[in-house]
Amino acid sequence: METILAIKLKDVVITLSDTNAGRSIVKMKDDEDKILVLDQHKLLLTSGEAGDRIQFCEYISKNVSLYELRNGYELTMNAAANYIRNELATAVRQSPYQVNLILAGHDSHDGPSLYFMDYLGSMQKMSFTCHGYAGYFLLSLLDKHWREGMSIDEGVQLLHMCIQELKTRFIVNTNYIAKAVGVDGVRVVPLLPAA
Amino acid sequence: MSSRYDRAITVFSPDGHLFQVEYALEAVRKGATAVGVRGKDSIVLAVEKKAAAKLQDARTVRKIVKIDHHITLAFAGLTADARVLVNKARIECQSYRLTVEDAVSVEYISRFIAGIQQKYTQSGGVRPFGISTLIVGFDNDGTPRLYQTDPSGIYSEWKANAIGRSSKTVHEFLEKKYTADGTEDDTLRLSIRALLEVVESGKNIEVAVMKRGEPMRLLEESQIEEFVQQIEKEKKEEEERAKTQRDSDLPTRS
Repeated sequence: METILAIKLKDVVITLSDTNAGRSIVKMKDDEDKILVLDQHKLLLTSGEAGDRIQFCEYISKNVSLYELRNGYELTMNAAANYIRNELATAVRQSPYQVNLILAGHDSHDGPSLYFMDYLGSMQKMSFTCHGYAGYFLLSLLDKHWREGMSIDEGVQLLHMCIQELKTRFIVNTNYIAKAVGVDGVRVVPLLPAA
Repeated sequence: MSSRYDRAITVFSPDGHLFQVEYALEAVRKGATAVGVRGKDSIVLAVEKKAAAKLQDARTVRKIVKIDHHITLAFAGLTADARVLVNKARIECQSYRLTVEDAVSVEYISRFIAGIQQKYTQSGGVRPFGISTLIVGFDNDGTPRLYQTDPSGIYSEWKANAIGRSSKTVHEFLEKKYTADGTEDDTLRLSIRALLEVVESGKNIEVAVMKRGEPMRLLEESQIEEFVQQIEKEKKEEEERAKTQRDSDLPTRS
């Protein structure tokens, strides 16, 4: 199961995802970007069934664009999270989208924020979160080291700690990609090369 | 017996006219003027701003709308009808992106809008849309395009065009003054000047310019005013030249 995680810092939300794309024992791609840029101030990290992931993400992304074109401004984070959750919840009783998501972003109302969602339609606003097996290894690490109002440098340091932990104890060896979203928009965070 | 709306409203007249469509074109002719001019790397849309009532918030009366990030539309005619068509066009743009993973071409979305306008001339219980539209944007290969649609469902590409009130006057002016491959400045000046032929002053004009790869930009009132000043100067100079030409043509005493 894929690793996706997000951490709320003082001004930005920093996100991490593995770049593995594979089926069973075969690694088909090792440079897959699973952090979708929804709009100028939102990132959608997805893990789960290969087809469902893309299908669901693209559908959400186009509807978020439509909202911006119709109204002249972007959805707030809260509105976007609830909209996505609603789509998941509606689908779950017919043909569920087998995707687990993290919505990370920034708006003028709440500043940086992130929402945890799963395929059953549950949603929770959090300070840091992960999906996949990573959770077993990283939640305790994040509990120990996360503080309110961390700087971007401290955040990147924390990310590297997480990557190191996974490299040490997680059976799957993979590369990672990190992106940050703040008031100025989205940017890729350069990670130190694999040790 | 049944009050089903299956009777067509738009039917042929004995001499081959669709009167409802022609009446719709009349409604368009009553609407505020809109001008579109295509340049080499930019396209300009200029519309007549109807004086807003004192108590009305002018910002909510928008005649130039974004359909997608690279496509803009201006219309003349019934505003409410435009709202419906614009909404359908916006959904179609995103739907196209979802299925084909490419942005729509200007021609595609013009064909789509024209198709809907035509459908409403051949369906039961509905009347044609009372609007003509000017659709501008850049295709994927960077070519600037300007299209026009009208209530009959016709659409065609133009280098420059005008719709709405006094569009004939403006169109004749454009035919005289249009030059191909204009710069952004040339295109702006031409559209504003064309519109000034039929509006009272620069205060009643709204101008939008699109450049390749950039989002649509509305001009500030001060920028429009600058162009208006330039145009006034130009007009004066042309008048002087015409006058001296006339004077020199008169016979002089030897």
